[in-house]
Amino acid sequence: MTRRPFPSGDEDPRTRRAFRMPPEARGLEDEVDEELRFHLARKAERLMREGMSEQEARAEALRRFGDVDLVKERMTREGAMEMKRLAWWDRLRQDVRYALRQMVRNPGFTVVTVLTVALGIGATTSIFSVVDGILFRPLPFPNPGQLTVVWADMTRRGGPVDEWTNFADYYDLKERAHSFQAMGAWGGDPLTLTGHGDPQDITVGLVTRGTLSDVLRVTPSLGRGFSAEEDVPGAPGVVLLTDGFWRRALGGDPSVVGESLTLNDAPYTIIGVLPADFDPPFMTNADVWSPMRVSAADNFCGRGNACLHVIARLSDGVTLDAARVEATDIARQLEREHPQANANVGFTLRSFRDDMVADARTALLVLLGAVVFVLLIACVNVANLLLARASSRGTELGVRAALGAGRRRLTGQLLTESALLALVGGGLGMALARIGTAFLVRIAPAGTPRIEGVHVDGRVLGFAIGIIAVSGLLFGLGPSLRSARRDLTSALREGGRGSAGGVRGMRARNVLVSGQVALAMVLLVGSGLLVRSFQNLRARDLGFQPGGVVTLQLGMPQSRYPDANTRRAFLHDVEARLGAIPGVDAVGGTSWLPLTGFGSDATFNIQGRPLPPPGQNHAVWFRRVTPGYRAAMGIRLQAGRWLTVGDDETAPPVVVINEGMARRYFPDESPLGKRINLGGPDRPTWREIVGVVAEARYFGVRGDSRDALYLPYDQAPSPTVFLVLRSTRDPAALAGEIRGTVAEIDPSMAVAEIRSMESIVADALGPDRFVTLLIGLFAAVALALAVVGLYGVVSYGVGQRLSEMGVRMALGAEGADIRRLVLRQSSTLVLFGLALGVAGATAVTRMMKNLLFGVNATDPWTFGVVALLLAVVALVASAVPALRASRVDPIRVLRTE
Amino acid sequence: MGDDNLGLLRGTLDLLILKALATGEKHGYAVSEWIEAATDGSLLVEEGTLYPALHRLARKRLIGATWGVSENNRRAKYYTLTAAGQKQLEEETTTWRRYSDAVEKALAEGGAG
Repeated sequence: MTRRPFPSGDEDPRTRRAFRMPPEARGLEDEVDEELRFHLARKAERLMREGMSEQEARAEALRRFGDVDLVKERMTREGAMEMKRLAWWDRLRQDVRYALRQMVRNPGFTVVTVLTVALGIGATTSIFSVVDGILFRPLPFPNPGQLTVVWADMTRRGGPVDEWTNFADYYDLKERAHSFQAMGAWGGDPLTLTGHGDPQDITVGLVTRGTLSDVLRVTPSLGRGFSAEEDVPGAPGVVLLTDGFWRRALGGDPSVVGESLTLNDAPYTIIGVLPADFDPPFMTNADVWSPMRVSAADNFCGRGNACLHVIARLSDGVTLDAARVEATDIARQLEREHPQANANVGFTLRSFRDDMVADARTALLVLLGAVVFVLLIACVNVANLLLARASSRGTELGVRAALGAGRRRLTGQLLTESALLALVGGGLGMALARIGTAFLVRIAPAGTPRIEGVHVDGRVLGFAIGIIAVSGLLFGLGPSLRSARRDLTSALREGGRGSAGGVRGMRARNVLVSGQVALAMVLLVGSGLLVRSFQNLRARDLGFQPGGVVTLQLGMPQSRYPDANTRRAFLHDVEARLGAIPGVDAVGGTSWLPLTGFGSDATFNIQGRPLPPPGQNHAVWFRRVTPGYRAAMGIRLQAGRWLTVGDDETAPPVVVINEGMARRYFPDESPLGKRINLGGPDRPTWREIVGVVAEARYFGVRGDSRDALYLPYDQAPSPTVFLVLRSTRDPAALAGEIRGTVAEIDPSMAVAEIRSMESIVADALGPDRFVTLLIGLFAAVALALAVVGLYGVVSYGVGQRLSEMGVRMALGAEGADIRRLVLRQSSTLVLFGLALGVAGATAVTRMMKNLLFGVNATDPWTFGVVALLLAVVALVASAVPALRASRVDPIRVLRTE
Repeated sequence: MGDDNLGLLRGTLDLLILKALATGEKHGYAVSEWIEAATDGSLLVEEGTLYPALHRLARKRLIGATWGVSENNRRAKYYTLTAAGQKQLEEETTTWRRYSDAVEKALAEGGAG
């Protein structure tokens, strides 16, 4: 048989239509010819009627017509082009209709493929969009590569590598360093805004001169920036409004520039408005910005303190490394000049971008790895599904080839099918990506840097669609064509079995399935490890009892609470009245709350012991607390006594230390009765240690314990204080009564951040919860895809071997034997995949070490459970086709042979 | 037909063909005769452009084409106006009228001045 379409030549048009054949091009030329000849003849007839001879008339008709051959050629050419186009459209329509029919005829295959494509595209695109938005998106400032963050390096003192610095060190570095064209510092304060409705707390970003204009290079969209004279102590207050605050609180009225705002009872002149796209990477919640008005000579936050964030812009052509060398040099000079405060203190310089995502980096990179894995699994699944289909269609394609379909035609047909699947899957995937990204942005933990700007990335979406489509084509199209090319007789002889692609196709599918199981294993192990460490984190002893605790912040303005007496009096009053609210069991005040990551620290020396050598000062975190604090927060007393109302400003100075401090400095003796001095050794105030309490976690749930002590508030009153209430009532219901009670004492006092301690704990665990949830979702997707892949391959294999099963049963095999046969084959695949997965997971989970808590990266328990889970799921996936195989009716199978 | 015949403005041939067919099914020759008669012989239809135009309109589905038998028993290709062609004819007629009115107005203005 030749490969020529058998209905060819001069068929009846109906035959042409029936076989969807284009009219022959040869006929077209004849038609044009005939049409023109008719015209010329009629024209000649008319001319003859007007009196010309026949010969003259013919010649005249031709003359008048013009160049007949040229017209004819043009019409034929244009007609042929049109025909080609029509035929192409016709074929495409036909292919699409055929492909749709195929999709409908195999709903299982279609749904699984489309879902695989959609899940793969949706999941990977949304995760990648988030990671890209946080890690790789350029910062919204000119020359962002020059932005550098400066920290105090306390590692040689056993402190953090990125501690805040202080004004003295900041000014020294700024003055001496040549690596920077600009340097600025920022901090922040909630201040109470009055005169615009109810008193409200607004966040004021405080900056030194040049931080906005020279370091970040932001120009106000309205008004002007800060001047040098406005950033000195005692200068009248000025503020720049953020665009958001300007619109929200002041109605976006341009005439407010020059007007005044009252913050904490002090006037601030509005000098300008910042542009709407100003997106500061620090103090993102700032409502207004104001100069810090502090000088190097000020004692506030002087040498040895930690209170200031420093950001700088490198000079043109200066590298970060060069700047580091210079900063290290300056730090050494400062060590020599100020041996007390600066010994063993260095500078840490980081690029702004690195600094911003420092904590999230590992988690984001692990997520990115998971993205790659899921994408791989999705690709494998699509490839696998198409491969299985290609094999089962060998006969169909062979027959079509036999009926005259050329290779290009078959390729076009298969391409159309793949394209349709990709189109539907891709469309669904795009929708999933949008939903997924929005979902991730919403559940991202508070304070995730730059999360607001995250959106679906078109390039990533295209990439995901592309890679899945290409892998589908590679694995689906190739084998199909191979099987269609094989000689027809064997394709037809194999008949209904249609095992085209044969051994090679089966082997390829087996390898793919094993690989898939392995990939899923790696993701599941990663997810399992994260779940375990999250459980460990949640179960961790925090050193206090967050249940039933409500906290709030009070800021006493300097103007109305200028000294210790007024602050003490106010706080006593507030504590007493809040304690009288029904259902409130305990009330206490503190300068810092646990788990918020903030605190004050100081150096100290112990009475009767030699002063520590310079640079090896004893450092300790300290909190000022009222007597009620321990009961309200639920901190365990280990030895001695807690602070009492008697420990006031007239009583002898006392202090309660935590367990860690007791262990470090008094390992072999009781610390009770020992006396320590906080601050400089020149004019010591000796405080007696009266008690030891358990370590409460102030610096993150997973953080190590830190030495800390508690001072009586009355002996060292601070202007800002957090109140802690333990009650049996709902925190939300309590909030109103708290506000009312405070307002009774001082109506213009702003009550900020009424929160339950439990929500503070939840926030502290937010990043861990986020990563665990995401990897968990990925692992679930991977598991689902792997199961689908396995099911597909096993059930396909069973379908291929139905007749063999039939023969076996006819020869006396029991259903159980058949089931065993099928299961044995799939367990080989699964076991192979699991082995591969264990090896892969061992190699990969090591990268996650930073994310884990209390669980080893190669935790055998997790590996075991995951392997078992996968094995069971795989067993179920292959049990269904195995059961079907064992119910084969041998008679029927053999008859169809 | 002398040399004072007007050539056709670009685009008007299509309009005239559609109009010719609006009066009934015609073969190409009849279309050319109709145009000649309807314009009192003042418009010259170049036959070399008529047929390509007919085929172009057929490809755009504005007119349909079938082979039939002519009045003197010869095989001829007949063209008919399709629904789309009818619509096109109406639109183009309106456009043409507005166009020629505008030009006419402008010319009249110039003549008066």
